[in-house]
Amino acid sequence: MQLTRRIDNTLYSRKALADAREAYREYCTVRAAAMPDGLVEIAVQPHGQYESNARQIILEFWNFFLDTACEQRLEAE
Amino acid sequence: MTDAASASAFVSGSDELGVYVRVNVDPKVFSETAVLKTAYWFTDQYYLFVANNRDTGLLDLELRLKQGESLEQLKAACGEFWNKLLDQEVRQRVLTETSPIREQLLKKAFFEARAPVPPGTVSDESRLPRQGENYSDDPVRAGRQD
Repeated sequence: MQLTRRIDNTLYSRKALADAREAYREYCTVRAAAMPDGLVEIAVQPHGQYESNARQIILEFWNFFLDTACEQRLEAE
Repeated sequence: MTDAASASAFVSGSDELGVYVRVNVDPKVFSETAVLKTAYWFTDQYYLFVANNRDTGLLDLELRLKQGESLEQLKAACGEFWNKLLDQEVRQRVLTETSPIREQLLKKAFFEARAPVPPGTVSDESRLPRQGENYSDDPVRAGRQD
């Protein structure tokens, strides 16, 4: 299973993406590609051995990404 | 799919990751900070995703249950989300309105806590207190009123 979503860097920062990617490196592959409209396309694919927990891994990744982005944003304010 | 009928309504659906509900938040009513703070609290119990909808100018929030597929539970979560969001927005506004007063109070509190230093005394920090000494042993008498 792979989930692809488009994000806006004003909500989900690049630093938060780097942190989330690092934190979940053991569980999934995260690919990011810049789109012509300024959005960033993020594809999350759990590693083969975790396929049975794919939903949990993908959604936990996105929660971690959001939490980290929120923390960074609120600390800066 | 159910169409949103009111400002606090939601859209439900399902995809390969299961059942979800989506709410649309107007950033003119609720600040992005309030939305993010609320979302931050909700990630404990739900899976969340936030997106800027460029077509509508609204913030789209997607909620999913961590376990199970109950739409009723998700509906309840939406209601809870709107309540918490309103609460957070009020807190933000009060925070903004009272920040000058808070700053003044803090300045006053710290200013009054400063002990008067005898005129002409400048500490070069060369003498540090030894074991068992307290402020009354300070040779420059910092912290003493008499």
